[in-house]
Order: sequence, then structure tokens, then C-alpha cells
Amino acid sequence: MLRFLVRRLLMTVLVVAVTSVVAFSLVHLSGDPAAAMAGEGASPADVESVRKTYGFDRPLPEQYVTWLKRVFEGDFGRSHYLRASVAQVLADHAPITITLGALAIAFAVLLSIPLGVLAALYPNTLVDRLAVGLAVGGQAVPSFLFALLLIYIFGVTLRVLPISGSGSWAHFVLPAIALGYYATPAIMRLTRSGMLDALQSDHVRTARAYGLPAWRVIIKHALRHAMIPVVSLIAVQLGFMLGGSIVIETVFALKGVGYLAWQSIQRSDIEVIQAILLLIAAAYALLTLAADVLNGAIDPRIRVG
Amino acid sequence: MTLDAGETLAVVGESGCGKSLSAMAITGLVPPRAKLIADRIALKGKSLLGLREREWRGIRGRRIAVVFQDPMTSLDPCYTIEDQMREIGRQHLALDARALRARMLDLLRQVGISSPETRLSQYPHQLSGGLRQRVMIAIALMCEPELIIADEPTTALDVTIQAQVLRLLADLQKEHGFGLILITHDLGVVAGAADRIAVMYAGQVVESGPTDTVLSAPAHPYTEGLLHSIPVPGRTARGAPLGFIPGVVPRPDAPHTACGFINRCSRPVSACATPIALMPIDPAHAARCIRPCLGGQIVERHPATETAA
Repeated sequence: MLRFLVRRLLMTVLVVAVTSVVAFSLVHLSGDPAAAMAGEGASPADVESVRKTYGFDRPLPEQYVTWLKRVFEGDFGRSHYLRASVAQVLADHAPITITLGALAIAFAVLLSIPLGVLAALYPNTLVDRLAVGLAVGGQAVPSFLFALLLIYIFGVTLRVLPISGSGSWAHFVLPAIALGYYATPAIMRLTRSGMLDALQSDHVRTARAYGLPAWRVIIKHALRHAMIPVVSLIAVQLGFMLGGSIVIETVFALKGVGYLAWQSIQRSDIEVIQAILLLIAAAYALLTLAADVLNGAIDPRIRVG
Repeated sequence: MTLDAGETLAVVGESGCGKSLSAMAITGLVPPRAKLIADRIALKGKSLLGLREREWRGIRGRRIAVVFQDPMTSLDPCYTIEDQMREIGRQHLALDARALRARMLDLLRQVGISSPETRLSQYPHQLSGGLRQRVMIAIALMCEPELIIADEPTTALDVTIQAQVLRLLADLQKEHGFGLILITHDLGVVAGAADRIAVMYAGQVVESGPTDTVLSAPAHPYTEGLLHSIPVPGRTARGAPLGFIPGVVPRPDAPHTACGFINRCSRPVSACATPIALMPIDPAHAARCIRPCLGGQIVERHPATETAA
């Protein structure tokens, strides 16, 4: 188990290291950062002075190392537009996105896994078709349209839920449903196919032949196996949500990381963009690690050699 | 098919002839798309037809246990041997944790596992195929069942282990007195292990009788063909082609409007084009054939009008 953990942890560090290079390069190679920061009306002299001040005149590898050193010290730099430390800016926006992502994935999991199991228990029946239909609806309807529909029904017509802002838990209900619904089809389908396989496996037949109650066979001996790929998928989906959904955050006026990233790109606020890219990559890598560890706990063949 | 306590019935036939399906039907477990049609399935005189799910749970694993073909996949890879044995033990036996653990250790010893404490804490993938099959047999014995169905229990094992597992089953049967249905397509397995034999073809029993009789004097042309296709050292000429049965098995969904073997038979007559019943040759021996071979002679019989057995 320890060797397994150490190996996965090393992989995670490598992935983050590589993405830090990519994140840094992308920002610095897509146009001249000094010109972008100085603004449209700036004179060549102004651009030159910006270049000097921010160190853009140094060779790129050197800039990268300097940036990485600061990051290791916990200093992500300053937002030149917001005139605040990047750490502070992120601390303002991240909790909203994390809350939204966690609620959305919880909604997606609670909806799609029971639907997937149900569909697999009654394959090719009306139950199956309805479950698949309900889940796939999430993929077919564009998320902004679904979000607007939710707003219209629950916010405008029924007036039961707030539709904008992040003042209370109630504010997160509609955006979490809108964002989570988008993740349901993939999770549901993977659960369904995993369950179909698991229910036909020999050890499930054994469990049935030894008189174990149906629900125990389904949960303990089938669902556990079906969950292995699903856990990995959920980790990726959650990573995607933590990256911030610009559409959902915009529709519900939530000032989260997605919104911040979009704004920062428009403002050429490169220190903020770099930090967001790095953090999203780290979140993805950590979630993947968590999924691997969880899968190791689910299936001993993964952890015990 | 009938089976007495302490007796071994071998069900033989080629792949897909319905051996496993028929045997699993005894436990009421057939695949979702299969439909169970039987006039009678009974255990010790009590009918098992139309039992409710709850009632089945008192039969499966407790009075009828199954040892499956592939020990590699028949145990759940996610749980230790102890977890899996305990789950089944708890379901059927009213034992406290200590007594149950003692029972598990005792069972593992009975099936010849030398360090049962270690094995209990291991996962299936840490055991060899032979060991896993021994664990499956230990699980089958857990509740002292009256009937054990062994579905090709040695097919997935290598030859030396096969003999060990068969001997183990025979020894345990002597000790515990359970009836054993041994499903196999290996006639070599049958000869030493079974009291009686039921030969299946295309979903039907075509011949049944005492093992010695059926193997030495097969009445049905299919049984004859099967036996002819086995090389016998000393009797089969070197370099000579082995016997085989021409043609192919009818589709499983083909209606039984004629003898299922008619197109492959060496001695068909026009009367074979009607459904043939399983007809007794003597009280212990029966064949689904109107021209069976008895004492080296083909005997003509009239198509039975009684219903198929």
C-alpha cells in the first residue's frame, strides 16, 4: 500500500511540474505580455519600462525559475489590475467555486448512480429508457439554456429560490443543479455499463447461488466493482467543475474562479492567469490521486501486488 | 434426473448442451432471458417450484451448494476469503463470531488447506487456482448441504490439481453424505467419480444409467459416438483418425419435432422424425432412442407414447 501511494504521489508531482511549465509558457508565448499590460495607448517607452519592471526582458527559462521560486514560497505575485496579492484575489473567489463544484458533483452523483443502477437492473425496459433519457437530457440541453430554464421556473414563476449572487446556501441550489446535471450522463452511463458487466460476473452468480439477499448482492458485490471507473470519472468531472464554469458562474452572477479567469484574461492580468492555471492543474492531479487511492481501497488487486 | 443422498450423478455432454443450465435450474437461478419450465423439481420430496425469493434463500447455499467452474472469477476479488466465508456463514448459520471463525478454519482444514489462518486473511488473487477451488468447496460445505452441484469443478485447473480436487470431493462426500451432481464434458473424470451418469444432448437427457453400464455398453448412438471419439491407449490404432460425430448440434431454439440427433445418427429410420421419449431399457438404464444398442445388438422399439421424462 505504501509503495502504491508513493508511486502515485510521485506521478502527481510530475504532472503538476509539467503543467506549471505549460501554464507559464502559454501565458508568455501568446503575445507580448509587456505590451498587453501597458495597454493600447502606451508608447514604446512605456512598454519598455513595463518590460523592465516586471522582468519580461529576462530569458524565459530564467523568468520561469524566478516565478517557480516565488510560488514555492507561497507568493503568487500581484494582480496589477486589482492591485492586490494574487493569493488574496484567489482567496476571495475560490470558496465560491469550491462550494459550487462540491454541491454540483454531489447532485450529479446522487442522481446518476441510482439511475445507472436502476437502468442496469432492468436493461432495455421502460425503466432503462427513462433513466437514460433523464440522464442524457443533461448532455442534450446546453447548460446556459438549462440554467435559464431553472431560473425561469424556480426563480421567476415559483419564486422559491434566489437566482443571482452567493449570499446564502440557497443561492447555490440552482447553479449546482445546472452544473451538476451536465455531468450526470457520463457518470450514469458508466455506472449502467459497469453494473451490467458486474451483474453478469461469476462472483455475483456465486453470491446469488449462496442465498445472499438481492440488495446485498447488488450493493456489495456488483456496485463496488462498477464504481472503479466511475470514481476516476467523478474525479475528472469535479476537476472540471473546480476549474470554474464560466457559463454557469456568469448566468448566476457568482464571482468564482471561472469568472475571475475570464476577467483576468481580458485584463491581461498574467500573474492571476498563471496562478489559476497552476492551481487548476494541481487540483486535477490531486483529485486523480484521490481517485487512485480510493480505487485502491475498493479493489485490493490495485494495491496488493 | 434423480439423485440419492450420498450418490454422485455425472451430467455429461458437449459445451452448450444444457448441462449447467439444467443443474442451475435446480437452484432456481436461470439467466434473465431463460424461462424455467419444469414439471417437477424437488429436494427430499419437497417441491422447489414456485418458491418465493425468501424461501429460496433458505435453500441456496444452505441445502444446495454450488462449486463453479472457474475458481479464478467465482470469488469476489474485493473481499478476503474470511469476509466471503463469513458473509455466507452469517446468512445461514446462527453462530457467534468466534464459533463462525472456528467453523471457517475447520472447513479450510477439511479441504486440505494447510495454513488456514493465513488463507483467511488473503484475497482471492493471492491464492492459486487449486487453492481457490478448495476455498469454494469449503464454502459449499459451510452449511452441510444435502446436495452439491459441481459445475465443471476441474476444467479450469491443471491436470495434477484436477485429480486432487476430484479425490477431495469424493472423500468429503463419504464423510458428509451429500449428493453430488458432477457436471463435466470430460468422460475421463466420470469413470472414476460417478455412480450414475446422465448424457445430455441438445438440452435433453439422451441416456442415463449406472456409470459402468453406460460407459461399457452405451445404448444411445450419441453416447456411443462420444466414447468412440476418446483415444484409448492400446485400443486406438496409432495414426488412425479418431472417431467423430458428423454434423452439428441443432440450434438451441429449434423445436423438438424429431429426435434431436436424427441428422447425425449412424442408424436413423423414418420413425425417428417424431419426438422421442426417454424409454427404460432396464429399471436403472434408459435411453432416448427407438433403436438402442443392447448387448451389441440394435433393438427396434416402438416410439413411446408416454410423455418425455
